[in-house]
Amino acid sequence: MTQLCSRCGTQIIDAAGPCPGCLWTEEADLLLADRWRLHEEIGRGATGTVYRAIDTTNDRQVAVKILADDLIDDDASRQRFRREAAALERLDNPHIIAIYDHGVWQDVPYLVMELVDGAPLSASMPLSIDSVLDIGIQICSALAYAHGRDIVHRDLKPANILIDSAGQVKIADFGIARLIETNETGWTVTSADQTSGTPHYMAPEALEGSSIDPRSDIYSVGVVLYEASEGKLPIGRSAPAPWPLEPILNTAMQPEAEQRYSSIREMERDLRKNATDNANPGLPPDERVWLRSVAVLLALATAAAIWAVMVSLTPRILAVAEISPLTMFPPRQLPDGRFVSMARFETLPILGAAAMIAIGLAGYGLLRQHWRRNGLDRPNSTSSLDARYLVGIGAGLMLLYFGGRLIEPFGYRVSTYIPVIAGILEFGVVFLFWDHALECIRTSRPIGKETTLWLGVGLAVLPPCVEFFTYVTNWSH
Amino acid sequence: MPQPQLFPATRWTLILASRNSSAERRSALEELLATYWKPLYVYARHCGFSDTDAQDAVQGLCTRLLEREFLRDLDPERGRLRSYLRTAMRNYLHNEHERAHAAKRGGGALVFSIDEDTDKSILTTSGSTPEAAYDRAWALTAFRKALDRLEAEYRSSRQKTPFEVVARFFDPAQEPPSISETATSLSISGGQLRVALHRARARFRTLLLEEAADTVETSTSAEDEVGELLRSLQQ
Repeated sequence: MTQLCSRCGTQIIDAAGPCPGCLWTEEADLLLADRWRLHEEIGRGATGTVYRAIDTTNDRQVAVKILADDLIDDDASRQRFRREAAALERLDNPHIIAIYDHGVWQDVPYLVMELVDGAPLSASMPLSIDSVLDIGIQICSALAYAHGRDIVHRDLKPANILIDSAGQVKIADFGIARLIETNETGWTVTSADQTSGTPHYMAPEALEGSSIDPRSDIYSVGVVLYEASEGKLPIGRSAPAPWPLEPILNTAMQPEAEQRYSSIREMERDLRKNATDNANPGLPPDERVWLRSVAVLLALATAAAIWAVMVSLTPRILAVAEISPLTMFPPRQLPDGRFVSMARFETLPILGAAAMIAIGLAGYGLLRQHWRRNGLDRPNSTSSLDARYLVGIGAGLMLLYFGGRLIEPFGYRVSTYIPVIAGILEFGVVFLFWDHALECIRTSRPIGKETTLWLGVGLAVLPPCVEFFTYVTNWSH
Repeated sequence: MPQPQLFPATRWTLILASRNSSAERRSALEELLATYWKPLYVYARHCGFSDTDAQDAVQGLCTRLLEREFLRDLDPERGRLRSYLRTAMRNYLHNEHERAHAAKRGGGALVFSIDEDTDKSILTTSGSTPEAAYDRAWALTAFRKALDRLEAEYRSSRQKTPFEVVARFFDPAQEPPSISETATSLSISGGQLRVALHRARARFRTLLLEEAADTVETSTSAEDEVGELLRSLQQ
């Protein structure tokens, strides 16, 4: 026989137990302090529960935090509640949760705070590097503000960092925040409650109960950002954070406070710099080595190709034995029996150049594959390459060549080593060209629009071209 | 902490997602079947099966669902576990139970055990149709689970307001006690007792929503599911 609840008409499970229908439906939302109408639970921690609530004076939605039932008579917990209220009252920052009211209603301590339409950071990890940088900057900015008012958070963790629907960070739970110095309220960092917090995110000195200062928060931010990026805590032999976060988080998470950033502003500055750079993501040093290696291969291939062309197009006087019918047009014979060859298929140089090109292309292909697999090829066309030094080398080569020509009429002669120096510089230009070209390919930038790069290449290429053209022209006559 | 409660990965979505390992999916399904086998039993009974045959049918279906092939072929478009299991049971009873019963399947882990005392109200749930009885049994199972969790939470912590006191305020068999008298007997303020009652109700809602969320896809509202379950109990 089915039993129905006499109050709500729901079928009851157990005649001796509570009616689930009444528990679910009964209209008994609590009116706290004659103003705040409490609704459903939206957050829960060891020390308290947060409810969505309505401010009945203006229908605004708020969040009301109430001390846990088993702690409601605990003096330390009640003091901690007051401390959180006092800390939040001192802080008015868009990235720190705002407090609207606090007090004790019928012996129940409560805090009324801003209701954030979003989710904790812990719900969305891991994040992209761009997002981690963005969130890191916002966290640092909020903490810099708090530290500027002598407040250390001491319990930063992803669950206490809320991200609203607009992507704005809101730092919550200042329950164990402390004033750094004694002030008129009489609060200071004391031994009591010093090891409160969440161990994985706590700086070593905080775990040991040593003195707390803003650098403890810097450590916690490092751990939070690592976890936000990797989706796991930096415990044991954890992988390094991805570039460009790695050096910043490494500094932030130094075991010795003295070796960390001296202020959260410094960390924020580094994050901002990298956020800007990340729009034009530079390669980490170990990745630069691979790019340069491939640039060297491509430069060697280019040099080999130029050499093969020059060798093939340079006029030569050949002995009869050197005539090869398959690799040259019928040459013109000189009166002394030798032959004039204006152009030939120089087998070894050309095949050697082809082999070099093949090696260079293979390296290039592997590099592209590596970039794709590791997410290093990111489109970006907003910034330009810094190819000014390439222009400098080009200008130097122009000076070497044309300067030498200009001083010749005055009886001066340039050093016989100049061609060697010029050759090395020319190879450097080819290398730098490929270095920049690969970077353009990686960031999907149109290389044709890199005017500085082309100016440098033009300046560097002009002297050997003029030299070669002059040589060939003079030889013909 | 204040943010809307989220139910990110539910067990039903974990089962539906083929990218998860089959061991993970099987374990999640096993856990859900261990809770929700009772509505299947009720359904079979309302289809005219005897107690033993209904138990056999539940056993046979659960064994089948936990087979590797079932997980491999599971359609990720499935909506709710409740409707999926009801359809699976109906098909099983129509197509395979006779054969399976004759062969007396063996080897499968028994995922349920009938305890007439604790589950009586659920196992004897009535309804105008097998489907209605199934839905009611399902709702009672979910409500029972949430209530058990709430009680366990109270028992595991040093609550100033014990579960028995909270339960008295929601006991359908008696008028709610007086707030002031109860508060005095517990040596707490009336406000503390009111907060405690709100706390219990809000916590029960959260736990019930979690239970419901575990059987629906993330996109489906757990609130809707609870609303439907409640309606099935009030018909």
